[in-house]
Amino acid sequence: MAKSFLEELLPHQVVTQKELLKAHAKAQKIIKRASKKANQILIQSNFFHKSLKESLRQELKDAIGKSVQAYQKELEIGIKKSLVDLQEIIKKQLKDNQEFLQNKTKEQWKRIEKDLTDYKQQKKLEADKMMETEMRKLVSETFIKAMPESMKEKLLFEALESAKKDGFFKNI
Amino acid sequence: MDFSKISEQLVTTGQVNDLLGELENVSESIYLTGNKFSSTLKKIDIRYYTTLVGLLEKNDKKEVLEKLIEEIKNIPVVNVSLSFYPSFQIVEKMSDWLEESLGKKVLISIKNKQELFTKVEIEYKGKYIKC
Repeated sequence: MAKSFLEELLPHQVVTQKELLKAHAKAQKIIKRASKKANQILIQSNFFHKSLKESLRQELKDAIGKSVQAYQKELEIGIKKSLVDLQEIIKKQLKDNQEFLQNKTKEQWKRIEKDLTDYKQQKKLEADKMMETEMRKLVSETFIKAMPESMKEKLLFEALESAKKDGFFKNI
Repeated sequence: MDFSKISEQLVTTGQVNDLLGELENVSESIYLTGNKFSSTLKKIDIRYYTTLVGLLEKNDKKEVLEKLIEEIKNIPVVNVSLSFYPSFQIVEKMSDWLEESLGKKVLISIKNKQELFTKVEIEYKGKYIKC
C-alpha cells in the first residue's frame, strides 16, 4: 500500500499518531470498562443501599417490636408485681385493722365485763346489806318483842356500865 | 328559889317539852283578868302543880316562871338509842343511874333504832359510844 504524503514527510509522527490512536483506543476501552465497572458498582451500591435501608428498616422494626414486647412484658411484670404488692399492702392493712378492731373489741369487752362485775358486786353488796338490815329488823322485831322487860333492863344497864367502864361519863 | 322538887320529877325530854308548853301558857296568862290565870295554872301536871303554886304565891309570878323555864332548859340531855322502847320504870332507873354517875341531873331522850338489835348508842355533850 502506498504511503501517504504525510507518512512520507513525517514517518515518525505517523507512528506516534498510531500509537496515540492505539493508546486512545486502549484508554477508551479502559474508560469504558471503568465506566461499566463504575456503573456496576453504582448499581450494586444502589442495590446495597436499598437492601441496607430495607434491612435497617426491618431491624428497626424488629427492634421496635422487641422493645414493645419487652416493654409490654416489663409492664405486665410491673403491673403484676404492683398488684401483688398492693394485695400485700391491703392484706397487711386488713390484718392490722382486724387486729386493731379485735384489740379494741377485747378492750371494750373487758371494760364492759369489769363494769358488769363491779355493778353485780355492788348490787350484791347492796342486796346483802338490805337483806342483813331486813333480817336484823325482823329478828330484832321478833326477838325484842319477845324479850322480857327484865332482859331489856339488863341489856340497857350492861351498856351503861360498859360505857362507864370505858370512861365515857368522865371529864364531861 | 328552889325548883329541885320540880326538876327531880323530870326524866325525859318529852316530859320537859310538855311542861315547857304548859309553863308558856301560864306565863302568857299572868296578866289576864278574871280567873283565866288560875284556870290555866290548873292545867299544869299534878306532879309539879303543888310546888309551882307554892312558889308563885310567895314570889313574883313572872320571875318564877322565867327562872323555872330557864332552869329546865339548862338541864343537860343524854341521848340513848335502842332497838326497843323501854318501860318508864326502866327509864326512871336509868335516870337515877345517870344522875349518880354524872353527879348531876340529866334528861333522857330515847330514840328507837331497830337495826341496833342488842346494841345501845349513847350520846352526851358531843361524845358518842356504842356498846
